[in-house]
Amino acid sequence: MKKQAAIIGFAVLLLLMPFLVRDDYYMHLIILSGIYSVLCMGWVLILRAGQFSLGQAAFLAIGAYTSAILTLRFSLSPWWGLLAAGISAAIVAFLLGWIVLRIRGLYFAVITLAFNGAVQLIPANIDYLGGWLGLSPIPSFTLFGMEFTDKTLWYYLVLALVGLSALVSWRIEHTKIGRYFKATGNESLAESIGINTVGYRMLAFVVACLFAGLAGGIMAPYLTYVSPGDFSVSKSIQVQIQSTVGGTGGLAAGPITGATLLIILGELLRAYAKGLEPLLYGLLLLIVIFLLPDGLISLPGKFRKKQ
Amino acid sequence: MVSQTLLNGVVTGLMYVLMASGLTLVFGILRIVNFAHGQFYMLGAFVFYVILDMAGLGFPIAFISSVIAIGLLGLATERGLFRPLEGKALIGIIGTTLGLMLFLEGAAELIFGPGDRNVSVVFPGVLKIAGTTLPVARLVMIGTSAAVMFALYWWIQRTKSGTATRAVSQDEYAASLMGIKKTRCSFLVMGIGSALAGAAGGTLGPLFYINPYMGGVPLIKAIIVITLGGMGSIFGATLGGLILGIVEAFAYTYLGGIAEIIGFLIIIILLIIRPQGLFGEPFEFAE
Repeated sequence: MKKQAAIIGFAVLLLLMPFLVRDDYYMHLIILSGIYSVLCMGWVLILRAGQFSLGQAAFLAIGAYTSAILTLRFSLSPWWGLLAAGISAAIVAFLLGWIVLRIRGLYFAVITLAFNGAVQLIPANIDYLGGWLGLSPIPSFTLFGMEFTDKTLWYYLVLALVGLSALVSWRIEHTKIGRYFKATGNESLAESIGINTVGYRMLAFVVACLFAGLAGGIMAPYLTYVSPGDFSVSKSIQVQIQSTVGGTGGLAAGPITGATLLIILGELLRAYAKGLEPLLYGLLLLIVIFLLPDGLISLPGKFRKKQ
Repeated sequence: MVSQTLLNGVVTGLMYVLMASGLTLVFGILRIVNFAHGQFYMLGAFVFYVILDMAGLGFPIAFISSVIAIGLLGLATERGLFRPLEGKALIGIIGTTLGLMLFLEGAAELIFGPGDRNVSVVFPGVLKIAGTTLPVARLVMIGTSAAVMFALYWWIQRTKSGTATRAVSQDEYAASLMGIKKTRCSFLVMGIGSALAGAAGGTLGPLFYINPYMGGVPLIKAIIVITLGGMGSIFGATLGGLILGIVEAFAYTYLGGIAEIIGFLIIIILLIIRPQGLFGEPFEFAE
């Protein structure tokens, strides 16, 4: 009962957020946190199915560029761009996964890293795709004649995507599929009881990349531009750090917490301790890995136990 | 034109070889791809710069200081960070090297500032042979890297600890039956592997600008090279580095900027058709 009340309270808080935070800059940070949360949830989903991806920014890029090209070169509405962004990222994930998902561990991490590097360099070297300068201005969404000019509508759009992604993760975690995902960690054991490990890994990979693509389809019109520099390997590494710091025990709460806290921490550091951010980011990651391997999300539970 | 491109390719390739051989050596024993290896290289270049330009000591002392300082850093990293992680999940291991990478880059930025620095030219002059130009500094770089690689081969083939290292990388269990301690081997290998990154920083520092972010690209190239050559194989890293350097040089000359993509395509294709790389031992896909 108490738990339900807390959840309802939290949902109301999320819905009222734009009226509580009446500051464009903070709303911008919250929207960014939402986009990263979606990427992190996908990353943890892939991890749950036993793979370590270092290339999630590539799928964000595929989504963002699909949206940018459809809206700018073909004058389609960004809504179509958003739909195509998700689909294209999922298709690329399917094709790549078909080839590489049987590769495990560190090798998978390396191949996704290389894929990220390659994907970033394609638009950078093709003039039609904007080169290193990128593409702009990407038109904004309109809904019932309302253009997305202020941050409120953007916030709700991102919130909807985070909610959808969290719902999918939550459903996966609490059904048979989620347990199968966990089981794929021990490949031979899982296969001996009839679980198609590569199939479930594929499912996790495609779902994660679908959401990364959708996040790209929102990010491109939100920022009004895309450029290759925004989709570097370091962005993929950032996703991994946020998820690890937040906690990878659960599929939704940990990644969302990690993404939000680190985006805000990053901004605070940039404002008050310029030049210290990479150092402290690295230190934080090391501290969490060594002292708090289940992430920040496990912190309240630890306090409760002590009492 | 062709010979000039080939020469440029060899110079870049040697840089890849130096970076990749340390990374592959560490992987062969510890089964860790050290993502902070590029930052070790960066710090090697800064040590070189500090000794040469700020302390005013000569090239040999600066170079040896880079090698020793980064070797010690590697030893400390093994003892302090990697050893406690033995047997832990991949997320902790990769996470740790990524955390170290950010930490070192941030530390260098804090100490030296974000700007580019020029290392003073130690060996001026340009040689012209049969229509190709070769700055003397690059010739020195070729000589130094060849000497470092020769020393590495001598160590791994001819010394007792080198033989022990090869044994552990081939079969850890059998090596332990022969009385080889893996922890001791890991410690030594992390020192030597990191010293190689320091050597790369010391040889290449004189050729380029140095800044705290210079480690990123060489790390990616080194990862491509060891995947190409086979993770854990030093011979593979040597050949892979030279191949990548030369192929890239020709691609740049004839295709332009899109050449950057070649390395990535090579390893994506390679991992599909021959996942163990050119000279790697066939491995089990599941760790």
